[in-house]
Amino acid sequence: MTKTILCICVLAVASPAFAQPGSGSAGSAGPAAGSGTVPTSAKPCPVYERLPGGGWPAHCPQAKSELANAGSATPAAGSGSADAGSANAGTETAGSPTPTAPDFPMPAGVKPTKVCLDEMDKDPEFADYIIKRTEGKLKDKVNTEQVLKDLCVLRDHTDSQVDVATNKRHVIMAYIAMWLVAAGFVIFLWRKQQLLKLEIENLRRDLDAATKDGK
Amino acid sequence: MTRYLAPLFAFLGAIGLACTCWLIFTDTPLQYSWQPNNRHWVLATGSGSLFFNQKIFFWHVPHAIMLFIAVGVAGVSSIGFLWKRNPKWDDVALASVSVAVAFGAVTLITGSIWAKAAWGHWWIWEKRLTMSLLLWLTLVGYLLVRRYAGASGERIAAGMAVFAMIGVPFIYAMVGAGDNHPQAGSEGNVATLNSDMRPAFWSSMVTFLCWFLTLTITRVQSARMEREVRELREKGLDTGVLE
Amino acid sequence: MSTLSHAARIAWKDLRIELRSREIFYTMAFFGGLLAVVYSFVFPSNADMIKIAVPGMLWVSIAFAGTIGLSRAFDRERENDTMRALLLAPIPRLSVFLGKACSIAVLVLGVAVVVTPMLWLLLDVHLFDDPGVLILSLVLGSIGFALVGSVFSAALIKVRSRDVLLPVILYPLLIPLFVAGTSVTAGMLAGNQPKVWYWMGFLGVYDAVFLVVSLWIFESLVIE
Repeated sequence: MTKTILCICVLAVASPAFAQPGSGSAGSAGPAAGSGTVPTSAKPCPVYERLPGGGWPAHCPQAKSELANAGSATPAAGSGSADAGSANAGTETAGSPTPTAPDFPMPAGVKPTKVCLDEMDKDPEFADYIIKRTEGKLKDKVNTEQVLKDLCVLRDHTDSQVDVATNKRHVIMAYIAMWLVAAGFVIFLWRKQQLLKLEIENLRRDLDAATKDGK
Repeated sequence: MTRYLAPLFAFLGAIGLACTCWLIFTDTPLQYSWQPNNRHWVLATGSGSLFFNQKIFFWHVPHAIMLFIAVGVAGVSSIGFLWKRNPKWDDVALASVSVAVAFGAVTLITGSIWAKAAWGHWWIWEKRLTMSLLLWLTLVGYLLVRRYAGASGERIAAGMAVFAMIGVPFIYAMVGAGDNHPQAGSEGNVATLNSDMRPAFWSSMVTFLCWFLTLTITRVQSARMEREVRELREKGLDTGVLE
Repeated sequence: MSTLSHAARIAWKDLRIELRSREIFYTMAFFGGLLAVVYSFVFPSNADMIKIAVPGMLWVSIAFAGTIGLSRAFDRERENDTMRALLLAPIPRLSVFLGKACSIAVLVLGVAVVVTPMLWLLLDVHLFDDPGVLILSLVLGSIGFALVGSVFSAALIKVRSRDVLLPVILYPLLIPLFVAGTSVTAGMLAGNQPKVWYWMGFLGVYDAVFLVVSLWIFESLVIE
């Protein structure tokens, strides 16, 4: 359930065309969201089993508790889509009692986009469902899957950029390289100087020897 | 008088180095601006969020400019040597090429480190990097020919230097249109450099110009002395004084 | 026009010697063909990758075989000490240079004539779809290679480590030529006309500029 809620929230952020009636607050099966009427013995049906008209198949526990939970599922945490969600909830459940926002157990430090994409990767059916839900609404406006992937990539890039920006490793490497080459060249020049001195010494000695012999 | 040129430039260069380092690390701000669509900080000149790594610029660019100056000097003095056959030109050419190899090595290494910091790769086949690498390879070939080609090595190497100098515009034109190289200022022109960075930049240019002159003058003197010793020995052998 | 007629005579002399024994041409051509066979083994047989790699294969074969032929041609001059005779002859030095460069260009073109069909056959690449462009690029490339190569090969005749120094000198100077050649071939294979003609123009300008520079440098470098 968490993954569905997360995905739909993130999609709500990513696509402005999402604020339409019936577009889905998913979590009528939201975790413990004041839904004491959900029988604990029966496992709730996943969201993608919901009927096209908006109702639930008869075997799903949601069918019995729908009235109590309808429209209350949009979580307030995480992706800041509360406005869109509650707008959805408002339009969808006109006439039902005011829903309470569920106590959304979002663990600290979780990245919603990553969770969403991970779940999509793990479960192809789920990925299909998410894509159909959004593409059905958006048609050719936005390639939602690509947008989600781009968001993850952008986050990685920003992380590595921040890393590069805050460490001084590269500058120090560059400065060391410059000093090494400069030192190398100076040592090279110095060695040439020493060899020259030796050459001159040899020449002087040979000249002395030759002129001494000549005498 | 010319005896004191090299130490003079060395002294000036040392002062310049102290000034430059001080200016780089205290006076030049870390420039960045917020780009809301990408949601991260970027350098004000638009060359990516380099922050501290931008300081490499002050080492890299003067070395690159000195490299091109050295190659120009080498080409011109090679032409002079081939034309006048005066060995003094050849000494200048050899010294220029040696110094160009050293400065080119620093340019390539610091450029590569900057590339890693800015773009994430150690090397890409972009216009200026390719040109610098090919130029550097030609200069190393010059030194190899000087060393291992025997008596006629000087002439052959001088020919190489002329070809290299003429080939530079071809290498430049060869590497294609799009230039991803970080620009020095808003127009890629040093004159449009952000005014905060100018003092450090000009200080580093002066420092490395002094360093370049020091090295070149020292190397010219060394080459000249080597040649004189060699000629003296040959004269001694010719006259029969030495064996 | 006597310079050119002298140059033609020297070129014809070289080619006639070559035609008699065909030593250099056979060895160069066989080496080029062997290289084509080696390429078909060492590169993965993925058709897309082959298509991308073929221009490089062609021009690298020309480079290697050309270098071998170049050093061999001038070795022949050195062995018989005919270089000195050529330089002492009462003809302008330029015509000596032009004649030698001409004969080398013909030899390199011969290698290209052998290597290109082999690449076409072994690797199934449509190199002959646009024969005019192919021939023009090979001719211009051979001329450029021959010009720069002759200058330094002639200068290195009497040098001991000339075999290894020749590539060391030549390849950095010839890289723009090879880049242009491979770009023309790649553009031709992809059907990208603007690219083909831009790089063909580059080849032409390269040849023209280095002809002038080589003429001037040859006189200075080759004095014995």
